[in-house]
Amino acid sequence: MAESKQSFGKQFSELEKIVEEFEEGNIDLEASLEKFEKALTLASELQKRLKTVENKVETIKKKFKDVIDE
Amino acid sequence: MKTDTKFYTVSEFVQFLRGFLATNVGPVSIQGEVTGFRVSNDRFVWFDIKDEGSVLNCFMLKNELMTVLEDGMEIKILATPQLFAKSGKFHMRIHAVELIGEGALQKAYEQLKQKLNAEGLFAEERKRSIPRFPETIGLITSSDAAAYTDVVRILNNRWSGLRIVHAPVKVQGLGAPNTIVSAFSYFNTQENVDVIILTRGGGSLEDLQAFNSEEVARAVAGSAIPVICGVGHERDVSLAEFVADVRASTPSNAAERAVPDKKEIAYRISRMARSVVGDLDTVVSRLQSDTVSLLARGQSRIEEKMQGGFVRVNASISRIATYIEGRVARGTMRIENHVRALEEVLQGNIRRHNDNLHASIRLLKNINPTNLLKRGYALAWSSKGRLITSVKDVTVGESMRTQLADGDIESTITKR
Repeated sequence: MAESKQSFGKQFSELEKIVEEFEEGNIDLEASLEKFEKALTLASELQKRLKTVENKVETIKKKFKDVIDE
Repeated sequence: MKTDTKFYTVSEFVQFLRGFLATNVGPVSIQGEVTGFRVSNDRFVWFDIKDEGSVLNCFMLKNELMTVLEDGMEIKILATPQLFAKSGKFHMRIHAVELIGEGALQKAYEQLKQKLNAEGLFAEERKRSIPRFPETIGLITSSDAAAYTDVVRILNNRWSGLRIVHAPVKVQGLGAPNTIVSAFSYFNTQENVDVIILTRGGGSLEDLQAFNSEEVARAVAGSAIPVICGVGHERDVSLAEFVADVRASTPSNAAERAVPDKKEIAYRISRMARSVVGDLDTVVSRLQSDTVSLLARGQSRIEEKMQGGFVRVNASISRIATYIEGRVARGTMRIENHVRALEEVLQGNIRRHNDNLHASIRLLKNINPTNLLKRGYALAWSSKGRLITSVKDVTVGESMRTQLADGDIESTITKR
């Protein structure tokens, strides 16, 4: 599976930041269209990741020593 | 003396026996009662282990002893039979000690708890928070335990995209603490994970001994990676849990504490997307009303300046209107693309906002001053194709074009 360029956490925080900026108001149309676009892209990417990406389990092959070495 | 008997020097024979015991007997597990416990030079631990019939001398280093040991305690040792190289004395070289019986274990538990507490290892301010969205999780538990299955199942239910790195360890019995400690050191040096889950199912004090041992408690405390520890049933508590950053009640609970719930996060994402759409709507309607009042002001100015520069004003108002219209139209197109992509997330909500945008564009079109032409105003163009804004722009005899709503009139200037 291709690694995402950005972590889920980073994208989520970015979305939260845009929402905050919108809530504070004082954004002109040009800037808000860009942010709006970004926010919706982030939202759909995040939703997609939650729906489609599965967990992987790996077991370490190394044997963990249970006797102290002399 | 028989001549075929093998001849040794004393040192050679002691050396031979040491090797023989190590390879042919190796580490064995023996149970018995402690007697004659003492520590010399603050470094060496000596005691005997006995039953009704026999006694064995035991030896280990003080820093290897991770539990309270007293005469009369019943213990199980993991040890290799050995001879001291110098004295040739036989003894058991101890690798690990396990206490037997609730009484001894309870006593050891209380003493160690007091000691670690006094060192401040349980302090609230030592606890670190778990990353909000962990990507890799180190899972320290035994492979065959129900705890392993529970943790993986809960992690799969709650979150996606995780890499779970499982360190299979012994969670009980002699040597269990060492496997757990080396798993911690593995994660801290070779496989950097976001959070470590240390867990096992419930059991007696004897079963939980590894999780109450000093070496495991110190490994948890010393981990640079935050640790969630969940042991047994809700009533079971272990020292490892007190030291951990997050103390979970069960293996399942440890998994729940490690990652957020994706249903809840999906809901929050939809809510944020909705709120952004709502806020954009506000921006657009503010712009809408700003434009309306701007154009209205422009229009009344035109009327004031009918005499003078009406045509010029008209032209610039018309340019402004076209510009604004263009921007809104471009924006609308971009928004529409996203609205389509996100329709399933935001369901019907988007439609309404989309309609609002269209309505605002219609409104802008209606009040566009180019429509003023329809109301009898005209644009005058010179023969060079420039807007005539002053009588000085034309000369007598030159032809000019007058643009009306439904067409143009060509005429020649006879007087100015």
